[in-house]
Amino acid sequence: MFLDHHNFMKRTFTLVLIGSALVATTVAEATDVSDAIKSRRNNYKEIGGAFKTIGDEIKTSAPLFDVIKPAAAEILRRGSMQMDFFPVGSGPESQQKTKSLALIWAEQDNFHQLNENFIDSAQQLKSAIDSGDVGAIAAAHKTLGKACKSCHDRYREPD
Amino acid sequence: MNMADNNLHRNRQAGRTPVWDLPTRLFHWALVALIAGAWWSAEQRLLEWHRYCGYGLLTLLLFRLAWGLFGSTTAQFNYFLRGPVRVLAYCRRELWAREKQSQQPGHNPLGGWSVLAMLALALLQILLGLFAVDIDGIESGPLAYLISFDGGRLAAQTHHLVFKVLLSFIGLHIAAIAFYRIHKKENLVSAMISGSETNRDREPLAVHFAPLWRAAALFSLSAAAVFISLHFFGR
Repeated sequence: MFLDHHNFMKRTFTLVLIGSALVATTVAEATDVSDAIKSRRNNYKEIGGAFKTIGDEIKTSAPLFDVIKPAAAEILRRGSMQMDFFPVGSGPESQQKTKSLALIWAEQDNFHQLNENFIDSAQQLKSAIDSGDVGAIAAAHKTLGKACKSCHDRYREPD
Repeated sequence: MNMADNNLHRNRQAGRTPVWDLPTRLFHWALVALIAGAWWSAEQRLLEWHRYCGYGLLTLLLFRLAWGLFGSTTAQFNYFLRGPVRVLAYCRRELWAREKQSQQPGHNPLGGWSVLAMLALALLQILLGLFAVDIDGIESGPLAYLISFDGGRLAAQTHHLVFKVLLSFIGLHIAAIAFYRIHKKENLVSAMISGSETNRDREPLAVHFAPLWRAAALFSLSAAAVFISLHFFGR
């Protein structure tokens, strides 16, 4: 009787423990997912802002290097972080507000490759700025814009 | 007797009454062409052309606003924008009537407001386009450098939305013309092409036609205003 009771308590305790762990994991995952979505959106917005800053300067045909140099460094830094913000489960199935398409997780290799291209293009823009050649900067800026577009066209829900 | 009066006289005799002056007609069809061009170039992602269409449209709209103040009678805002009593009376008594009524030449009291709505929407659309930024940050309006990336994105999204509203108004405009053609047996399209309509059983209302040189001057001023603003403030 005592033994049975003891076993019962033990089993109940274990079940409760496993249950709580499951709930905790789910909650943690949900928070991770929403954090990831928020982070990637914010990160992309910052990249977009820095990219726009450079574009606005290029349009003057006499860009301010004090402005575009840090902006290019910022794009490179943030572009390198970006893949951490796409955990499995953070697509449309998360039921959260995101324009990321499910295709991202179905085509992980290609998605990562496009991000690599983006980082390469950002590096080239940074080098062009370091060289001081305005024509090369404009060309590199355009190439980087196309890298943004190549990914948006396939993996982002259109506006 | 000046040239406009001469034309009026000749047209009356030919069984047609002049309604729309040449500048208003040219404005109308150029507007149609440029809106179509702006739409097409946006769909084709030819943003360079899209911007040119926008600058052309801005010039046209500025001209039309000026022409609404200094142009011919039927083009003037204070002629075709009528008070709510007149609009309501039109809706009650004239809108559904099949027989030709002794209505004023030019826009009907309800249509006048629809015209103003379309002009306002088109102008708003241009203003939004000046500040719009695309998601890739490659393309942007000439004044987008003045605002943030988020602000530019908001302008672009609103630009999309306003276009849908504008298209709805254009659809309504075309539906109203079809209604006039089928139900009231009046051909508004030919009037906007030739400038005159068939004579009606009413005394012709005195329509004053403004001289063409004034239209040319106002159009040149509009074009100069757009060009100079973009040259000095645009990027």
